[in-house]
Amino acid sequence: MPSTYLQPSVLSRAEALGIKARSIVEGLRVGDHKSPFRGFSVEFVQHREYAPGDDIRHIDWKGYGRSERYTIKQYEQETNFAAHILLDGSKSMEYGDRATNKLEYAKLLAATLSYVVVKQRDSAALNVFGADWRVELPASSSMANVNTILHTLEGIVPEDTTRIGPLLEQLADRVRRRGLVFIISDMFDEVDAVLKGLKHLRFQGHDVTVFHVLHPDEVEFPFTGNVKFDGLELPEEIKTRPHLIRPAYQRVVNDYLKELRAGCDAYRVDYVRMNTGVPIEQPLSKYLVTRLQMGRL
Amino acid sequence: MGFLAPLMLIGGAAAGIPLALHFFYRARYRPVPWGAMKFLRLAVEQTSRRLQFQELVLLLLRIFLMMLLAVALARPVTCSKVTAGKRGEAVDAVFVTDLSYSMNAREGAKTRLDLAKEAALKIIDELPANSTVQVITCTDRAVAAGPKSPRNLDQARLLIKNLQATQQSTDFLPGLTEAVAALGRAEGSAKEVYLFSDLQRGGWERESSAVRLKCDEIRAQGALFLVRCGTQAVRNVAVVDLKPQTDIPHTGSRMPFTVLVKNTGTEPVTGLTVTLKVDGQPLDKDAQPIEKIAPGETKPVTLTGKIDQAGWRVLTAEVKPDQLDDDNKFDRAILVREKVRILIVDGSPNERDPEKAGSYFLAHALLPVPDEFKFLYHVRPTVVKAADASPGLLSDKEACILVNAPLGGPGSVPADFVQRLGEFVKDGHGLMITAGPNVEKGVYNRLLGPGGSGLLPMELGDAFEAPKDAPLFPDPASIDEKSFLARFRLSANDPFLQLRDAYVMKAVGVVEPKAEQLKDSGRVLMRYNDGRPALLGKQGGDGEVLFLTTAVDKDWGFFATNLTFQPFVHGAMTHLIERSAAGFNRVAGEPIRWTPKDLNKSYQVTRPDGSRARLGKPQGGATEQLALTVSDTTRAGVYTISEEGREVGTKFAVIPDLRESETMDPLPDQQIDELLGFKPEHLTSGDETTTKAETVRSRNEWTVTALLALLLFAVFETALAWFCGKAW
Repeated sequence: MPSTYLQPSVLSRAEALGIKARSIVEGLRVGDHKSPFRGFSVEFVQHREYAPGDDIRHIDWKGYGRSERYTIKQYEQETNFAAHILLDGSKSMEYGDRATNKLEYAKLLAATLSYVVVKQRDSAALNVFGADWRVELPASSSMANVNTILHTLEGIVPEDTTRIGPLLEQLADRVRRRGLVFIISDMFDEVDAVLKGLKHLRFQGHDVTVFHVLHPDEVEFPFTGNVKFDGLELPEEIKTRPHLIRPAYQRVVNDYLKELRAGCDAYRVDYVRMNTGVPIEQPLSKYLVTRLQMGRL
Repeated sequence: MGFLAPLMLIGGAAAGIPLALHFFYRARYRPVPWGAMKFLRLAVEQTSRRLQFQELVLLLLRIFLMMLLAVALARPVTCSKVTAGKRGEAVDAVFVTDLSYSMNAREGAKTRLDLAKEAALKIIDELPANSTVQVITCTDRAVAAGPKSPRNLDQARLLIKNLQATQQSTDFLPGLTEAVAALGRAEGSAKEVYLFSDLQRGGWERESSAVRLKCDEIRAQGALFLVRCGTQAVRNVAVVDLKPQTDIPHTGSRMPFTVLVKNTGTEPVTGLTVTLKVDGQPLDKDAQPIEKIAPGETKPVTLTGKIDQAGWRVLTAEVKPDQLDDDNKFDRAILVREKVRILIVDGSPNERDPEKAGSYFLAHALLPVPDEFKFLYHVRPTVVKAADASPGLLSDKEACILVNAPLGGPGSVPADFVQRLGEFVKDGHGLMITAGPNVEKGVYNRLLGPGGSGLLPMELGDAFEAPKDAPLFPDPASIDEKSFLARFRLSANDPFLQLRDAYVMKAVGVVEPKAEQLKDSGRVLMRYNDGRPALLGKQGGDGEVLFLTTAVDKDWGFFATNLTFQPFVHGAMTHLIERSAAGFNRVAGEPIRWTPKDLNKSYQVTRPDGSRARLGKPQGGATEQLALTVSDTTRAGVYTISEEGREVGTKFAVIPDLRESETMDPLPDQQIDELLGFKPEHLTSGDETTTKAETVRSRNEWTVTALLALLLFAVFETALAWFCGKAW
């Protein structure tokens, strides 16, 4: 399935790492991810003494060789998960040129995530939002779903304003089964509302990751001369000399980022800053490795 | 504060440019679509007040810069009056040139006046275009010398080159007063007064308070430059007096003349020679050497000579040339007589015992020759009793002596005679009064005091006696060096001049006047050793009165019998009689006024340099006697007034104003500053004169300062604008 949003360099790395559910999720099938239910499944947990009637396939013969005692290996039952990919399609995501456009970057990330999830036989769902849900593709673990996701991504244009917080709360109320939630957005909404939404999701037991997509300009504010900033989401303009207010702007942005990050840390939400000037595989790989390491602990 | 180019102040309107730009300039903005508007909005809100303040500061700074530029281009100057300034940086200069005779002092090959001229010409050459110059000459009076058109600098240069020093003394007040008037006539705003002088002490101290006020007036209008012309100390000996010594000038016998020579310099002078001439011809024994004379010392020199012809003669005493020639010569006009008639009014005659008569010793002092030679002697005293004195006796007399004469009561001097005495003195004759028992203080004070004829020098008091073991004597130290008695003080070894040996047992007391009464009073010419007055003097009209407070007989002491009596009497008579020559002896600057016998003829004056000027006929007002007047006596020497076309005439002697020689030491800059109460610009004639004048001129101009300030503020504005991101 050729697509501009599936880049081999990104996919290969992501595929290798895979996406593991860090917390115990509920799944329909027996997959790779932890299930709260124990049984004879793949992941060994502990030994117990053989009792007549146990399946002799699970006898630890090596242990018998060492101790001349019959013991049975017990396993955790592994299940698959559903990954909800929430993509911010608001007008503010329009910023950036082709190479560093936030929405394109976010689409790339969304596509990659959906592909990796489905490849490892988990389900992926795509939700695109602005001020409200614009697109809601149901979760599916088939590759055809990936195609659908890709096709949908290609047709998404930035419009509308941003209203993340309430939408996250809606999602939390709607999706009862625990799963993964990937939020890909520039998070240009009130911090309190966003954190409230995240908190709600976490309360429902979801494994939440925020991919905070920002253009370098939005952080560093490198403009010079006389600039008229035209609002992308609302009809407003601000005329200024950016170099005069740069320090103040950077302070404001850093304060916002700190607050958001602190909030995410408090609710054990993974926070990944995505700089559209940096190739996507770097932060994504780092994120996946971190998840992997966290999962083995 | 003033401006040399005030029209440039109009440029201050450019201060509105930054203001207009601030309000009306619309900058071009580059549009950028932006998503993070809430961050931007917050950042703008946080910085808006600071940015507005910075903008305001920059705006004000730019307005100030524009105004400062306009001020700088208008060329500000520190002067009190701002006028139209049509002549830009042109200067109105007033040159006050000291022409007193100290300016003739030589320093090297040049005189101080030469140095002054050089400095003045240099300054003229360096004046900015369109400048004006007014030249004022100054001695103890000032003359606005020109030029007619102050803008004609060539005329000013010519005037300066032709300046000649006079024999007058220095007083800066008239010159500075004239300078203030000249500044008032100047049109521009840049005014400068230059005083070219050796800046000697006398010029400053004569009227120091008024000089200070005038300098303040000058400073209020412009700059004051003191150009010191001459810096070296001058070796100078001056002839300060010449007079017949103890004898009235007469024909037929050798007469002594005293020449006073003073070292007015700062170094001793040795090997001097004093010469004496009569009418330009040397006398016998005409040269007298002075081995050494210390700084400040005055030495009398006696020269004798015989004059064979009676009439007005001019004596000339001279010393050899030194660094200042103007005071090396002293001329004096004297009337040489064949006979000198003196009337003695004796208030205590004694025919039985002539030695006891009051006039005995006096008559012998006046005729110090044996009887057989008395007829030949030039002095003819006539002795009369007091009661016999009549006004007619005074008609042919040169002087009168009242000896112990009673003025009231039996045997007293008649009233008409006393009245005539007043006119006698006023006409230029001399009167001497000696004390005695007949001199009653009440009568004398009433008749001869201020309420009477006014002849008495001071109010008389009670007579007093000295203790027998401590008699009084005249104190030579009390004698003024300049008085006719000077030789009694200066000649310590002459036995005929030892006043200390002339004991006095009794004398008349004197009530010395208070300070406010000094103006109409006489003066004390000599005191006794106890400080009480011994000899008083008072001028009356053209004559003079002397009052001796002791008697000239033996009753009151030994004054008349002492060796000093004869030279004292002769000196007193000479002094009194010589006063009649006062009109023929003037000081440089004083006019000569003379009434010839023939009032219908026209006359001319021949000056010392040989030039002649027509005087015309004698002139006078309704109450004034007809007379000829010569006003221009700035040069010392002999002036001859004669009928037009004739060479021979009446001679008049004009001497330098010797106050100049007395105060020749220059006043240092620091003392001048203290006297003036501020620091004028001190220059010295020479190469640096113009440089320093230009420096002062540019110091008064604040253009460079304003431009530097402009540069500084411009740099500051640039830095601030860069910091604020608002650089143009």
